[in-house]
Amino acid sequence: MPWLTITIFLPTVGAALLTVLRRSGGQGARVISLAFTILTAVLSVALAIGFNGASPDYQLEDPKVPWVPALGINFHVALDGISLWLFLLTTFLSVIAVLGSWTSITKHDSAFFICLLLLETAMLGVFAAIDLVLFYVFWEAMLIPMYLIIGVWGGARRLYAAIKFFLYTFVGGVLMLAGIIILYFALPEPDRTFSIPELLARAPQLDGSLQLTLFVLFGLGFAIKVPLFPFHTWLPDAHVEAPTSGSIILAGVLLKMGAYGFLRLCIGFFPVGTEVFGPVLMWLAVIGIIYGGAAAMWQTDMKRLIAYSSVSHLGFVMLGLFALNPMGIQGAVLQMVNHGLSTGALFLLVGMIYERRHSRMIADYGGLWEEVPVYSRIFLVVALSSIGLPGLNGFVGELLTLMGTFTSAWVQAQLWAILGCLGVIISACYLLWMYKRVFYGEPKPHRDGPMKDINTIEATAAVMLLAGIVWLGVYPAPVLRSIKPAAVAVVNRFEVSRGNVPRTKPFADLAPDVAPLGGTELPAVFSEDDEQ
Amino acid sequence: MSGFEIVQPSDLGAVLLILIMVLFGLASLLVGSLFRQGTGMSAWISAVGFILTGTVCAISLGRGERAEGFASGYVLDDLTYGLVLPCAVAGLLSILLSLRYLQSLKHGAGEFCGLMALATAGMAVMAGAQDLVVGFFGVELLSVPLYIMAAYSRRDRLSNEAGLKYLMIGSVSSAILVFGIALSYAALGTTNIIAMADGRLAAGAALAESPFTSVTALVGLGLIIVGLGFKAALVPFHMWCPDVYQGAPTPVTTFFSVGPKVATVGLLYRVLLVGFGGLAEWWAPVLGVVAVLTMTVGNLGALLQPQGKRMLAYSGIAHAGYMLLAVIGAGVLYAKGSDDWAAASVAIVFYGLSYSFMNLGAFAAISQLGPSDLGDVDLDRLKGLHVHRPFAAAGLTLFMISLTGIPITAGFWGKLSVFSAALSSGAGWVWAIVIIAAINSAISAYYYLRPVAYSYMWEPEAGESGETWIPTQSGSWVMAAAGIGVLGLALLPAVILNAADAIGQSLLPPP
Repeated sequence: MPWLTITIFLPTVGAALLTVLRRSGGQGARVISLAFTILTAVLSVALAIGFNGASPDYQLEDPKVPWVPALGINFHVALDGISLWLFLLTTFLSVIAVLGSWTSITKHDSAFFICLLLLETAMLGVFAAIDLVLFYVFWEAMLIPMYLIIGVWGGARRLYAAIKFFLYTFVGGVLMLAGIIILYFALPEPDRTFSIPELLARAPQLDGSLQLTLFVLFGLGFAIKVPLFPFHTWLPDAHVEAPTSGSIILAGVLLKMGAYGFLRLCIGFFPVGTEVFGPVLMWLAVIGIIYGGAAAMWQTDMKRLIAYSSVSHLGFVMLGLFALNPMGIQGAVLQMVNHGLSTGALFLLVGMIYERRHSRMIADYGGLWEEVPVYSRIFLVVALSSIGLPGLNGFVGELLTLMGTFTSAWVQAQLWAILGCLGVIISACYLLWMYKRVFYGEPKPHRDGPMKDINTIEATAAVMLLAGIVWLGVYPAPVLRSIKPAAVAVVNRFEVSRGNVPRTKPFADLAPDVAPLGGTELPAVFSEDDEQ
Repeated sequence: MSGFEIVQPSDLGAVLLILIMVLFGLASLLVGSLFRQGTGMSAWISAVGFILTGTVCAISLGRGERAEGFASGYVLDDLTYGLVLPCAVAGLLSILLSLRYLQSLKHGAGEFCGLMALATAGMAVMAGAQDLVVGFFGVELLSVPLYIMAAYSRRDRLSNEAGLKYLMIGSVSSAILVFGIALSYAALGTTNIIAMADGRLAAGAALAESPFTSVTALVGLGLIIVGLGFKAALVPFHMWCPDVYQGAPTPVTTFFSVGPKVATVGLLYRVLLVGFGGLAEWWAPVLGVVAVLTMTVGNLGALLQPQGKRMLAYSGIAHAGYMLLAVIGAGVLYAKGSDDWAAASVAIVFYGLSYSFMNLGAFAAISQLGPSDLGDVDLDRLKGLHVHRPFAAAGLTLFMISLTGIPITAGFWGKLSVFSAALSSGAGWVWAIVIIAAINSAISAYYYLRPVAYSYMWEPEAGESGETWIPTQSGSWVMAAAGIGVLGLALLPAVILNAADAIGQSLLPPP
């Protein structure tokens, strides 16, 4: 059975069912979508159990189905160590998103859950597709459900935020489409293909100037999605206006698609472009880390604060990716998962108090520590994980990306790593300061009386996220172990395609010894942590 | 030539599609004018004609067969089938959509259906024309019924204005086209495009001998492009288009917006590639400029239109620009001496078919926004549509995202195939044009999503009396059929795209 394909399309089946039963609405729509997202998550975990973490290859591959034979387009899905975790993150966060919208969605509820389920299929497809056109199809198919989720169920400025989100992403998307077709025709006749594994072998041999053009055409779309400074301006609007579950999906999964695109396509296909634009992207990432953090500091709206913190955190992911060593990439992939959990949880928690008080303004709250004790303690753990407290997930990812950056072969690597560390400090400042203002101090009485503490459904979602946060903080080894072969493969391909010319390595003894093919070992400080 | 003296049986086989459309058109016209109550019957007769034509096209497409007739002045090849197919689909759905309008007419309802079938016969002539004169004949056979149809509501000022405007512009452009044909005949000694390509325009020999000949040929070619440019509403020959679209009754506009455009771009493609391929290095860049202007002006014009038909008129201009991308790509390949140029044909065919479905669907939605088919309708009447009419809103969304070119719709594959056809040429300036096209399609998202936003993100306006959406049975049927078409092509694009080789091979006579 093509289990991967079934997993991807299971939510669509759920959406179809909801369309048929849309008159039932209400509770029924919630139960059906919860059932389908849980079933999808269970299937994805079952797939992950059968995954061989020691191999860098694509696995769980479903038979290739020709879609447009005339153009060599196939329906072809598989996962490797990198996409597996993003796939799992998506199925997991989709369950959370359904739980998070249990009580907060009050109008047109079946339509909302139809959008959410269609969105899940599109996101899963992006991570699983190994045909470039199929990847693009899923990439764009996600736009309409998200556009509707923001625009119909969003806040006051939802129309503006929805079209802004759409246009920014779509501009990047269509340029990528042009890039995909140019890439196809740039290959000599018998080699033309849209298959990603085959392109990984052939595209790096393309002419250098062509690679630069293509890197820009692909990279622009990804940079908007990540978002890298200065393409981030859609993000605060979209995050703030989206309903809670929309924000969870946006921050948790959609942003990862940009980083994933960089890793899989830009770095994989265009080593020359990577080498030329790498430093530019690293600088933009560093600027994003500091700028996002500084901007978060001054926000008065909690959701906006978290949105800017995403800009900052995704900067670490980009640092790790373009460090171009196994440690950095491993850290980046882990950090993508971490950010999905932590930021998803933050949006979920803010959504809960918004539902009770209809305000996201920090100034409207105070002294919640006494008023809603369970909620406050959960929020504290999540905030600390987002800051990167050791023992929680954020720490492992940030440490690895920064170490990867520090030991990378770029000339300014150390400078970037140090500036990145500043970002960690800034994130502690804005999150703890917000925490202080909202949870400590004098309680602010509200006309609705004291706030109700977290309810069962909310608690279920929060505990699921907390479990992930603690697990990845305490015992990330299984995750890191299965990311490693794929990450090493990415680095090896990069180094081989640029002819193994040694780049400048000021801290050569600290840097991981990147052998041309296979047998790459990570530095001792890291392997211990990894193998335990 | 002996071929003209006696019509051979094989000639009749070659013009099969035209015969079907003309016979059914005349029958429908006759029934409509003979019987007072003949409206329904003449609509049925035309509809059967469209169905028959469409079925023949759908069955024959992809076989790679080629039947010439009338001294190779007309050819029934896969490109002809592929171009007539969208015209027949659009014709059938337009007839269906016009039922409400026909009931509102006091007289002339039967003739209306006959005219539609005759205009489609004109499109079929254009689609297979292998002789410039035959092509011109097709253009006229198409235009004359359209002049009448645009002014069909005689008491309506806008409809009258539309008819007159279209007649004036149409006659001028026909004159330009004839003049261009005459000049190229003077230069090349033949109006048959196959003979042209084998004769003075043959590779290498291209006009080198005499500067007078080459200038005449180029001017003739230029005028042909201008003449057809008017018909297809390419910028800068598009000024008539928004006014005519807005003024003509909605079913007429619907019919205008697809068939004539597809047939004209198809004729342009065949004439430029098969006939004037030897001059491709001249016309390809010119067409490149025209394409950029057409896409950009179309999309910018549509950007802020508050009214439905006018918005779709500008959007139609932009879509003609996208279709030109395939012609340009083929031209550049031809100029390079590559044999792959014919692969672009399938892009035009696919784009035409997907456009016919999505545009018809969009018009069907627009037509249900108002109580009558005259004049234009404000798009903000769509506010809150999905509350009471979820399926209409979903259908409208599907057509809008298909027009934008977002998966999973037919429009996406259309965009992909014209982009591929252009980019397969590998020329740097074509890359630039495609990137401009890509940015254009992002611009278009802004106005295509506005109806979607109205129908989902606004609440229905309370104060207004009655519902703004006035459902008609025929409108719902057209939306359903178009929706199936858009989704079907989206999931199984290979049905058409696999015919790529066949269309390419049958385009030229075997050597």
